[in-house]
Amino acid sequence: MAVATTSSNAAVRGGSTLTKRQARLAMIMLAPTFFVLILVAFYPLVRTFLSSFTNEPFANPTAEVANVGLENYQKLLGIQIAPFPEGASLRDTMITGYRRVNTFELFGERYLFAAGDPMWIQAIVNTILFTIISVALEFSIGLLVALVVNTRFRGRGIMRAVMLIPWAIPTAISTVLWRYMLNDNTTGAMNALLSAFGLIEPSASIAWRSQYPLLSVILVDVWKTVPFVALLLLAGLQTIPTDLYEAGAVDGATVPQRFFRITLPLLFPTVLIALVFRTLDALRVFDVFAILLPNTTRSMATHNYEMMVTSYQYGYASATGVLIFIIIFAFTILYMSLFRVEVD
Amino acid sequence: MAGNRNFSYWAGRIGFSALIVLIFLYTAFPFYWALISALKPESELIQTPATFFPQTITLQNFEAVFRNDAFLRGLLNSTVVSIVVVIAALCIGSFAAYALGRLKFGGKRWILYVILSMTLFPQISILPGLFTLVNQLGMYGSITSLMTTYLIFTLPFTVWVLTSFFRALPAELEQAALVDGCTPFQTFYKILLPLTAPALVTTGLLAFIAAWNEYLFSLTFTLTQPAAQTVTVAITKFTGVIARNEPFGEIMAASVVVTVPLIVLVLVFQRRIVQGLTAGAVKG
Repeated sequence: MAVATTSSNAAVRGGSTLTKRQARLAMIMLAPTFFVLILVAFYPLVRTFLSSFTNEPFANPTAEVANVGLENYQKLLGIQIAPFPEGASLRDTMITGYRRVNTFELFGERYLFAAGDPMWIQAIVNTILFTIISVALEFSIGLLVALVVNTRFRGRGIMRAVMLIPWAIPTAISTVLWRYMLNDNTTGAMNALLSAFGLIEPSASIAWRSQYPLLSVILVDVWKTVPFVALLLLAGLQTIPTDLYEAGAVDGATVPQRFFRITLPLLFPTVLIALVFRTLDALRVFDVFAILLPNTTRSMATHNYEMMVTSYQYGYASATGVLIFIIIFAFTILYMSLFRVEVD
Repeated sequence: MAGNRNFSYWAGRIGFSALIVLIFLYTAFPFYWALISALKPESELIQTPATFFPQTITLQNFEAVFRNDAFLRGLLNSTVVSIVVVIAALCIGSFAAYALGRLKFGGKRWILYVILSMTLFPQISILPGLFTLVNQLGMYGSITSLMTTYLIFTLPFTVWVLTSFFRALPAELEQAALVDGCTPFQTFYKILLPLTAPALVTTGLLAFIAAWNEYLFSLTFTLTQPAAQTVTVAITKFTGVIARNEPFGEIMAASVVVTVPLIVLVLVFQRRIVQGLTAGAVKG
């Protein structure tokens, strides 16, 4: 009896029942994903945000936690640039609680640059420099590699497989490898190679990591990422129809003209999207900085980590995390609206 | 005139070949260096200048690595964590992907935007919150903490890539199944899921590599518990068995051991990986 009623109801409602059933099934099938994402992303995000307004210590559940308002953010964002003539007192010039980043000359005047957290400011500068230089290098070298590998030659298949290796090796492990290669002792292949090619004196022992810290991380990241970028660009190159080049050749276009008028414009969408992905990746760099340059030169991510784990300042680290999140999320939104990402 | 063209032709050929060799060496050299350093005996490792071709070859470093408990433990942890994460991400993710790729319901667009932005989520920024979560769940210092938290970077990616695969399947299949009396859920697991098997392999592989290569969470959630460390962390904290001041040869041997399975995977599934990467990144 009950069954009959239900089915006749269904028959009356017809198509809308099917739609409703689909919607309900969709919700059930999406539920596990929602649950996981709320648990491992949304909840930690809220927790981080809330504790960024406190002085909560790390790994000390019994400690008293006080609300400190915007204090953490004031310290992180506080910078001061003030005229600092020769002989002036640092104590009188600098805001209390700040520390000196450096002093610089501009138009013959001496200035003081101080900040609430100089290491954080330095970390932002390092991360941005790292991002700009390494992404620029990765795309220029990557494009060259992609163009070379896109031509026909023997062993092209092997070449493509080899190119996946740096990408597949865990960053932590390739960084350990490079840590030795950049040493100034017998493990330092870099010096050995350069002197084998006569580029440096055999006696020169360059301690790359301490003498050129930023260059060292860029070197490692570029090595790891160039083949990856090249493979993405290669995929883009292969979507360009060859008859375009033939038509160009018939019309008398030279090789550089064909490159700038055909290849680059058609490759542009691929380049743009890969560029954004790489930039977002580079902005959150952790492994290379943490392993290659322990504690000397920091990125935003390693500063966050050190503040929490080494300095035991959970609340302060949370504020750092929120700032990193805002920087990267703003970039993500910008990218999604800029390229009008179509999801359906 | 003809001689001139010949000359530029050969110069071009030689220059091009040189470029290929250069790219090859640039890409492969660090791995080659790790391999020969692992094969060199202790005495040759401290020789100046360093040798680019080992004079004597020994397996001593590899033997030492396989006697190193911390390292073996790390290998085991990495394997278990990666496999569990891949299975979980594929199960949970394929459900969501079917719903997003095949079913009609309101708000789908927004869910897809959320998933896409999650694939770009900066994990480092919520590290404090994640640490608290791991603690509250009683998972600190155990590999279950990694199995849970690794879903933050494997799940959104899996959903995103699988959704595009589900969407690409022809609608006739589904209609035929519905006409034959399948419920939508039966259509999913009897008809469509088997068809996405290639996509499952590709995404699973990429998720496996991502989990195997992870470093930050493993470092943070096992700080005082070396027994739960994965291999990436174990290698950075390596202390050798036949240690001199720094067990360089052994660390290189360990790096080679960790890398070889990945290289094998990459060589076998080369085409699929490139397809998966371009599906995830280029199409956006």
